[in-house]
Amino acid sequence: MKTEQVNIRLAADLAAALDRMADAESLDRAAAARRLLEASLRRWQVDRAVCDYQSGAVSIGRAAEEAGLTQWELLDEIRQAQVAHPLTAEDVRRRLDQARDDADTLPDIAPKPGGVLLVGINPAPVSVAAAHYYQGRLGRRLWRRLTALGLLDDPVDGAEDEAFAAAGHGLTDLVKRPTRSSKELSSSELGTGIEALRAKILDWRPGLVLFAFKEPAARLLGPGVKPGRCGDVDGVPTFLLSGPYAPAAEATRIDTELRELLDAVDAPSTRDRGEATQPVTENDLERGQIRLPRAAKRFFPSERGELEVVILGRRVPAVYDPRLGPDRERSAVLRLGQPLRGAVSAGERLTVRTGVGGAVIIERISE
Amino acid sequence: MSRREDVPSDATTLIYLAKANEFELVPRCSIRLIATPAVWREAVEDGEAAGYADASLIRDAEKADRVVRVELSRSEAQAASTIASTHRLGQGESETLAIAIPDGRVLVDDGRASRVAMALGFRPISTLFLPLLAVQRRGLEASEAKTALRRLAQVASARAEAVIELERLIDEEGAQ
Repeated sequence: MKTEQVNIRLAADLAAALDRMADAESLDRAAAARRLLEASLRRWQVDRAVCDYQSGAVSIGRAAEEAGLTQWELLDEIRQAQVAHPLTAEDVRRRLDQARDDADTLPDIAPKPGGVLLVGINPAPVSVAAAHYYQGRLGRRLWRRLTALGLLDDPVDGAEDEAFAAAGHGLTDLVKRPTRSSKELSSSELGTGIEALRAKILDWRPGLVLFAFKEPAARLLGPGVKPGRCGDVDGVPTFLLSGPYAPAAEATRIDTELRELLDAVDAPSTRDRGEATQPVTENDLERGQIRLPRAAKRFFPSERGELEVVILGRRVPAVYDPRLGPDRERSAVLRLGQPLRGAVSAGERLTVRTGVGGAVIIERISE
Repeated sequence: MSRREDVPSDATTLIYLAKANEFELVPRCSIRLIATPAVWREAVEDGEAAGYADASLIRDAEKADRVVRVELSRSEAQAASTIASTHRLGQGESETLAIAIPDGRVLVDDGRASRVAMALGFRPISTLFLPLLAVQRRGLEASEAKTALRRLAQVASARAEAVIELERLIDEEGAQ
């Protein structure tokens, strides 16, 4: 070890204290001074790390790295120094407010042609805060009902609208302004909403307009409208669900009627649930690739090229090769590289489908 | 079975969940925690080497599919390096942000890392928000969530005012 001589003058009482410590530890004076210096410098480094973290000059990870501590150790030091977690009540409120500001209403989700367009009255504040449709008590019940009807598969709790949209269906409201009660909406808002709804139906051409509540159906089709199959709007069939407090027998009857109608309109969810990939082999994992049978090629461009896919929830760049070949067509290859390793096991099969907005989504079959 | 949202997670989150023995919150939130190589090293390997017994709970969470380890692509590794040097973040924090999806959630507790995450277009959430998320996703009752929050708050030395505010929101959410 390279050393350097340092001569320092000490106050007499400090030198005496150093000698007492050296005696107690059976060390010579120089060794005692070195030990104390090392310990003090170590302590200073730790204190500095805590201080830098507390001031926000560096993150906790960087502070630990610079002090040569593990994060476990630095967290203990931070706790001993009585430095509080940075989250304040104001932060909590600001983050929730920000979520509300980012989405002061819920955007329309257009259905695929032929899909179901679910129409509500207006978004509830709780749904807007969650950035997902129908997150109130009645809304959650509605999602359970629509899931039972087969209009969405494998919904994530609290984000059921994503599964609904992934199945090709759309969502809108008569009025987009959120209120705690629909009674807070003005007559003119509702009137304007009807015109907007009619324009959306013309534009989107859904296979079925499904009214979640009576108000929009009554305003569009007349006050005598009842749960079940209603009249057409510009050639598009419509259906009103039974109310949330309807007797069980009536709800069952209406749902059966809706199921039959859905079969008749051939909603997208019953047509296309994606295609399975070839089983992933060790060779595939080594090459960072997935092989796709002919049926799955429809989700990809017809020619070789780069694209982005969402695999197991991560958006990653990929290279797609349809391997059409001059003589015979082979399984297409999707090269993903590193993101595949560790995320997928040999023998596993995945499904490929198109998500909202046309993104290619690859996920586990069991998901 | 419900699908789960994959959320990149910093080492501090894993450490807090291990110390509070609250990995059960993860499936209750319908999420999985994604750990990069540096996060795994900081939270598990460094913790075990330093004698922290709770670090083994993170290994158990991985076996239970609550934590998923991922490798970084070359471009992600480059992005992590840039984030670390530009924003004075640690390796784990930088890798966590490098694999995050635009507008996606990312679990970080450090104030500086949260600010950087927001600037880069991600939605940072603190570990302390997990009990609230579990209630929002109907994985926990409000009373259970508040118990979990208090355990996390204790190990994270959370401010009382933040805990009170989160408890209020949990109650509001539970009453929906």
